[in-house]
This record gives sequence, C-alpha cells and structure tokens, in this order.
Amino acid sequence: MTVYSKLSVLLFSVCMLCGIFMNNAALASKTDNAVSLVNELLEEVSNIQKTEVSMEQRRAEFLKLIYAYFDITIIAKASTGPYWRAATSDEKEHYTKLISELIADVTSSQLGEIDNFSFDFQSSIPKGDKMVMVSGNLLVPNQSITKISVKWRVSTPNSDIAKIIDIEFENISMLVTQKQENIAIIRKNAGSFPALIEAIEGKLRK
Amino acid sequence: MKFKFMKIHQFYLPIIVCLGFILTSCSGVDKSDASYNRDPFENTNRQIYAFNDSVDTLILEPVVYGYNKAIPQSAKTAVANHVFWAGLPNTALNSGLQGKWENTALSSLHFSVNALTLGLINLVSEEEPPVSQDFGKTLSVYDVPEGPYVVLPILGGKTSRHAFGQVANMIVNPYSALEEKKAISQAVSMQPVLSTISWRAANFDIVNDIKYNSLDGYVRARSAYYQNRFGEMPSLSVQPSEADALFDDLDFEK
Repeated sequence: MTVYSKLSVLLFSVCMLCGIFMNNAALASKTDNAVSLVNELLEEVSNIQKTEVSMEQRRAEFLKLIYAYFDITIIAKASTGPYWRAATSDEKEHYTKLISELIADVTSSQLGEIDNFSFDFQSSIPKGDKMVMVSGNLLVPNQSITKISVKWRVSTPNSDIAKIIDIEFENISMLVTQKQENIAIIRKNAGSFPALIEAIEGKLRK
Repeated sequence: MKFKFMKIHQFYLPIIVCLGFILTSCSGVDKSDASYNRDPFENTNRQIYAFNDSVDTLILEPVVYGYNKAIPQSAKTAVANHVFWAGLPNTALNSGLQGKWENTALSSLHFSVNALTLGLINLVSEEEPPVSQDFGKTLSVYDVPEGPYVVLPILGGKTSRHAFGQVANMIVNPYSALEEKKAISQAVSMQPVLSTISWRAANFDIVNDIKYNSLDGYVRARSAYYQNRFGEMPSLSVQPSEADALFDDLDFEK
C-alpha cells in the first residue's frame, strides 16, 4: 500500500467517525430540546393553573401556549387525513385557527382546578430523524387517578426547532382520536370539509 | 364443592341474550360509509351507544357524582383496591394460560395476602402490582381474530373477542366455588355493580369529556377503547400503534 493509499484510508475513517459523531450529537441535541420543551410547557401550565383567573382568561393563556409550543399546522394536517388536500386554503386556515381554540378549550376544562402536579420523566427516544418521543408519568396527588402515563411526540425537523405534535395519555393519542372524529363528521356529510368547520364552531359556541 | 353459576348469570343474562341478538341481526353500513373498518355494525352499535348514554346520564352519572362528593378519597381507594383484588383470581388464571408465570405468582400472592382485608387495604409492598389480565387477552395470545366492534347494553363497546372473553370470565369465575356461603355469595353478586361505580368514579371526568366535549362521542369512545386496549395487549406490544402508523405516513412538509 502506498503512502497515498494509506492517507486516503485514514482520511476516509476520520470522515466516517466525524459523521457518526455529528449525527449522534445532532440526535442528542434533538432529544435534549424535546425534553426541555416538555418541561418548559408543563411549568407554564402549572403557573397558569396557580394563578386565579377566569375560565375565559385561562383559555386565552392556553391558546398562547398552543401557538408557542405546538406545531399547529402539522396537527391540522394530520387530524384531517386525506381531506386536508381537498380543502381550500381559506378552509385550511380557518380550521387551523379553530383546532387551536378547541385544544385550548378542552385543556382548560379538563385541567379544571388542578394546580398541583409534577412530571416524572422516564425516557426520550428518537423516532426516525424528525420526531422524538418523550415519556413519563404525570403525578397528580389527591385526585381519583394519581399517576397518568403520558407520551409527548415532539417534531424535531432540525436541531434548533422542537414543537409538540401529539400527546398520548394512557396510550390514547389525542391526535388519532381527533382525526377519527373529524373523518367521521366529514364522511357523514358527504366529504364536506366546511361541515367539520361548522361542527367545531358549534362545539366552541356551547 | 358445589359450583353455582346462576348468580352471575341472572345479572348478565339479558346482556348475553342481547349480545347474541346483536351478532345475529346487526344492521350494517355500506363499507364506503363505515367510519372505521373494524366497525361493520355501526348503525346498530350507535343505537345501543345512545341507550347506554341515556342510562349513564339518568342513573350512573348522578349516583357516581354523589359517590364522589360524599365518600372520602381514602374510602374510594379502598373500594378500588377491593375491586382490583376481586379480579385477581381471573388474572392469575389468564396469566397462567398466557404463560406469564411471574404475573400468576404475583397475583396469587397479592390475592392471598390481601384476603385478610378483603382487598380493601393493600398489604403487599410491591412497587409494581400484578398486571390485570382477562380471557380476551388470552385469546389474542392464541391468535384468535379480534372480530368486529360491538357495543353491548350496559357493558359498552368492545371487540367481539373481548366481549366473548368477558362472558367466559363470568362463567369460569373462581368465586363460583365459594358460593355456598351466603355472605360471600351476596358479595359476589355485588361485584359488577361495585366495579362499575368504582370505574366510573375513577374516570368521571374522562367519560364526561367523551359525552359532553366531543364532536362525535361514539367515535371518540371507540377510538379511545381501541388505542387503550392495544396498549394493554400482550401480543401486540411489538406492533406499531395507530399513532405510530399515523406519523409514519405523515408528510412533515407544510
């Protein structure tokens, strides 16, 4: 083997090692970002719950969190399945706004007066190269169910961006459930996307 | 030892008859209209769901509301412990049938030790309690197909396999061996009522959320059932969940 060949092999090996190292570093950075995002969100939720405000104000605060911490465009797209493509851009925009409000509405009513909870982190696992699953238990003392298994799906398209796209409580994905409800409504109305928008508006008005 | 099954059967007989009736006379929907391909009898299921919903609104919800308000949390925990304890013989039996010997031993241990308090107080300081098993899960281990989704009066929505497993659990209930003693017999008869109230109380907000906050309560209940049951299934834990499949297919580009 000539000196040139030896150098080539050495250079190739160094490049491979650097590639593996950088890839691992990027993955580690993504999982760290995902865990930080979940912890930050829970802290913000806890602060809102501890503050004495009206239900309307609380809902408004949750709506801000949803825009800040959730990838609402992905959620809107995934929750309407094949009907997303058929919708007009106005319908998409309107639905995206409504689904954010619906999540804020449901979250504020579900959390009610609970202000004492903590998150017992268990693991963060990359799912492919664009998503991280953060798992743990939500500990809620003095409630009928004191320990709830929670998984957060966090979209991580690159090392700098992390946004939540789904939450699973006791294996029940909020996004899958919403998608199935949405599709049932659209199908019941002969494939009409505006019928879904109308149904959500009706629900929010109640 | 004399086995008596009638106590259990008297309570569940109308349900079992209805199950047979539903499975033989279900009105289906056109495949293109079925919102979920596991639910070919959606029209009939929706009618029974509406009946169950009315029963819940008129009877169960007010009773459980009062139960939640009047009974202290420690007493509710004791009742929930008792209901869990009462299901342990079935768990031990089904764990054995599934070859899960550790769970069989653990549930037998919990049952024997906690029998001193009728299960009201957990005397075993095990960090992880035994995992509840039923005959439906055992059937899944032996690759019995899950069958169509059916909504049963009072018992709610289940796969046919799960519904059949529930009936089998009642028939082979190990308590039937103890029914010669009147007090135990009465206690056994109360189990379905007690477990229903305890379950509804523990899941009061979740069930109410499905009833009052959903766009389509029937679809949300069905979706939650399938996802939760999938998470509990021993034979399916290696397969991707519905959420995994959703994100695998999703194009992340906006």
